[in-house]
Amino acid sequence: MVKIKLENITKIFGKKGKEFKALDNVSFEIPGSSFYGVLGASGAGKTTVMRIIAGLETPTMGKLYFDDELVAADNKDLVPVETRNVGMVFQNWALYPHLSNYENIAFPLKVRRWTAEAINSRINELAEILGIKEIIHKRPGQVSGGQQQRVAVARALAKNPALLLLDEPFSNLDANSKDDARSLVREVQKSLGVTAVIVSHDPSDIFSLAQEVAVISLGTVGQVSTPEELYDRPRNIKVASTLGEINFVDAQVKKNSGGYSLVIADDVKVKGIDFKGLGNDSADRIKIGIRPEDLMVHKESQTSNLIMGKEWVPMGEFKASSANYSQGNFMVALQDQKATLKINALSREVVNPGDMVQLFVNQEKLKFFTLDTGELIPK
Amino acid sequence: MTHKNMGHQIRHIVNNVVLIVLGALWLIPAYALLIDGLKTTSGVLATPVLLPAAFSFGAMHIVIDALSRPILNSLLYVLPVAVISTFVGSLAAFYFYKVTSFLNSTIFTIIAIATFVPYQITLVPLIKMVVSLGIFNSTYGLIFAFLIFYLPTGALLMSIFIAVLPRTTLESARVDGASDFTVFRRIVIPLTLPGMISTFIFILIETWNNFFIPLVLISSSSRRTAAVALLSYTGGYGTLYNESFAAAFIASLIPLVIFILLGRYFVRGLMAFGSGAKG
Amino acid sequence: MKRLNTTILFSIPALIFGGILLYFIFWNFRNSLMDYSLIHSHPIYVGLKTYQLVFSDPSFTSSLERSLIWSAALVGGGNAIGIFIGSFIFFLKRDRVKTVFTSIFIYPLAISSAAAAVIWTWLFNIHSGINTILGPLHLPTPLWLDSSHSAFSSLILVSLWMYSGISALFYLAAFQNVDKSLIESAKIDSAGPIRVLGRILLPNAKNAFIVSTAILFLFALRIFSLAYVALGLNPYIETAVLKMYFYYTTEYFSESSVASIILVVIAIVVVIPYALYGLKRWMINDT
Repeated sequence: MVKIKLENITKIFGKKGKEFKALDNVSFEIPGSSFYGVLGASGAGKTTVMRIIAGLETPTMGKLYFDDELVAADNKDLVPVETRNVGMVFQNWALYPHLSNYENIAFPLKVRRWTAEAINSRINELAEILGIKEIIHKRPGQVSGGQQQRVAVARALAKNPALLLLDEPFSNLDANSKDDARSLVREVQKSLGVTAVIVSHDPSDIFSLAQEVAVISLGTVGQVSTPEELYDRPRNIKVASTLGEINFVDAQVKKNSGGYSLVIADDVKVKGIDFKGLGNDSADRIKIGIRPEDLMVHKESQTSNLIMGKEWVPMGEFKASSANYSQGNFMVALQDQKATLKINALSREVVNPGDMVQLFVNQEKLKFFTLDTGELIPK
Repeated sequence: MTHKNMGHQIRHIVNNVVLIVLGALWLIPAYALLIDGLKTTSGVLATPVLLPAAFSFGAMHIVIDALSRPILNSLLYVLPVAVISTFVGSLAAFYFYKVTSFLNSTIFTIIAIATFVPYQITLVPLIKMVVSLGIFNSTYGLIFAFLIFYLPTGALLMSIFIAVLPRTTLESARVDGASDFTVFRRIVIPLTLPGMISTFIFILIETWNNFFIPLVLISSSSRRTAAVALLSYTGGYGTLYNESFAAAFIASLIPLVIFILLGRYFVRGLMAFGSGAKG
Repeated sequence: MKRLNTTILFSIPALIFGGILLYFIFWNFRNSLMDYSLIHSHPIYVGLKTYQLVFSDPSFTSSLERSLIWSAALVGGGNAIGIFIGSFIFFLKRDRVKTVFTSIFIYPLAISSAAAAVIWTWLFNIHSGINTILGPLHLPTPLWLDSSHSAFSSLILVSLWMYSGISALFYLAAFQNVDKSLIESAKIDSAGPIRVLGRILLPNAKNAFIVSTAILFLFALRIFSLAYVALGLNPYIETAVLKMYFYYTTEYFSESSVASIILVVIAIVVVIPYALYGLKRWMINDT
């Protein structure tokens, strides 16, 4: 329910001479009752952001507001952790190993001096929603990872917090449990209307849960927008890389009668690009970002029979140097014939190392960045 | 194949034999303790220390009479010291764990180094202080003096045990709204209980066996500790060794029993002390 | 902030007593620069004069020498025995047996050193002690405490009995912390236990060596009752700690302080590397 505002938050760790700037002038706003995502690679600073919001760290400079109330400013915590009314699910869940699941969830309520009956009914309520009734009297060590996570969520929600913080909550779960966990969290947030912030390095967490996302890399905010916007129009190369695997290739833009063509390597030319964003110089050099899922790979033998939409443009012949299978797809590492270019592509067909394939790219999904600043060139 | 097995077998036998022989050597004093305290006066004069003789509780009786007061005294001094050092030491250890700063680390290290310095050097200023506080030759005085050395030791040991607690578990308690004392009471104590037991036993045994401090701070014989009372049984002419051994046995009984029953906690404490640098 | 204030309270008692301990050390330092004794019952500042006095006292220098020799012997012997016993216990197969043996080598710590002194003075008695067994077995029967030469070594032996177990424990702990896969791959390469010990276990037990050495050295420095009790039988075993005590009992307070400070300096010099190592760990945990 609470609205959070970060204003020029800077966090410096360490002492004189050995300082480490974890966050540099980070500002963004989290609307009340929304599901907000903070995305970044490990060490980018996202966990620090979360800990500052929770109150476990103090911002060296800058201001933090909860609903227009100043909660922390310039190396001082005006409202300490204990009174911020925040529920937090840690990456390792941080359940109390010596207490039963019931007592774990009851802990924040006992601290607030709730009566035993009130605690009991509240826990039953939460146990129902989160599906942990059967294991409620067991100890954390005696139940599975997925169940521990749900206990941790229950504990965070027990005191009816204004804010729910999730620090990489799904990273310790196996692939199947992850999906279940994500839907559960989404449902819970929607029905309770609590403001939720999820911090993760996994773009799928963000895409499945967040309504708005702040991308952090090396302590600064790269971009703030909706997941779709981020995916389609990442502001720069750093942001684009954070969102998932992406190939970057340097290319020369040549203008000719039919439109533009991109010269990526001597033997790799992409023709017929419909592209307006460049300056007058017809021999500009740019950087292109291509996601593996925006490439199509076909074995030689089948190209003649294919019907493809006109957004798919041929890139030429490539050789597969390696292929990894992962969740229904093959991630294939491709090299052009002169071995000057390396591209990773996603293929739905079986590809073996050594195979020669034809590569096609979805030109609508190409992302162009300037070579010097790495900024996105709008189309 | 059989060659290798033979080699292994032989190695294991040798291993065991070596340890048994060494172990036996190590146990000789304990063996002597047992058999010699139970010898009669004539047995003592006739048999050497290492050979058993006829059974008799005579020496034990005399010694138990003589040492019962000192043993009670020892308990009186030692139990409060062990309890306070462990508990208050844990509090301090928790503070140093929570509030990490250069100043704290330095203070902590300085105090840690001080606990390693031979405590005998504090002889002169200790006596001066105890006398000026009016607690020389008293229970309070001895407890006070013991605390000076063993409270920091308790804090040092507990800090090693607390350091291995996962930080996120304690942070989670804070997010749940718990005050520092609640975190300490509800989370830290239950999770470091084995460590607390180790520390308690370690300090108990150390203070029970401490000879020097009671020697210099207690002047009246009615208040002597067990360790000091043993002095009257130390060799020299006229002392019968069955009484000496009986005395050594009775005086060491309590720490020995604790060691036998709870030895693994004592060992854990030592291991923590030793790996403290490794953390 | 209120929260920080209540937490500081947690540390106050320990800081008070730790502070008193530090105060004592400094008191000794100040007093060592004075002339304060039976003759001069009002202390006067004399700088390093008392130090010169003490260092020119042959009974002090020989006692200091003895303390240092004792320490060196305990460190050398203790580490050697510790490694020996530690590795043998490590190679045992069953855990229960390991625990039993570990307890056997550690139990001397549970026995008060005064009691140990009593026991050993009798065991060292040339008429009724160990010699009664050694003789018939045609093994050497030393004079133990009765001779000025062997008395010192006898006590060193007792201290080895008392403290080698701790060293063994530290080494055992270090060995058990070595990644099992290292040992297993060595076994697959047909390495025998000696090779495993030398190539894998010992190199990873540097911690144990540092800690064991520091602790053995310091324990040796502070041995009091053992020498005190045996002193009546042999005057040639006075150590620095005993000397300091006797300075005090004969009311040469400044000289007692000088001896104290010398011991403090020695102790600090030995402990500092160990402490720095530990402090480094703290600093890493800070950031």
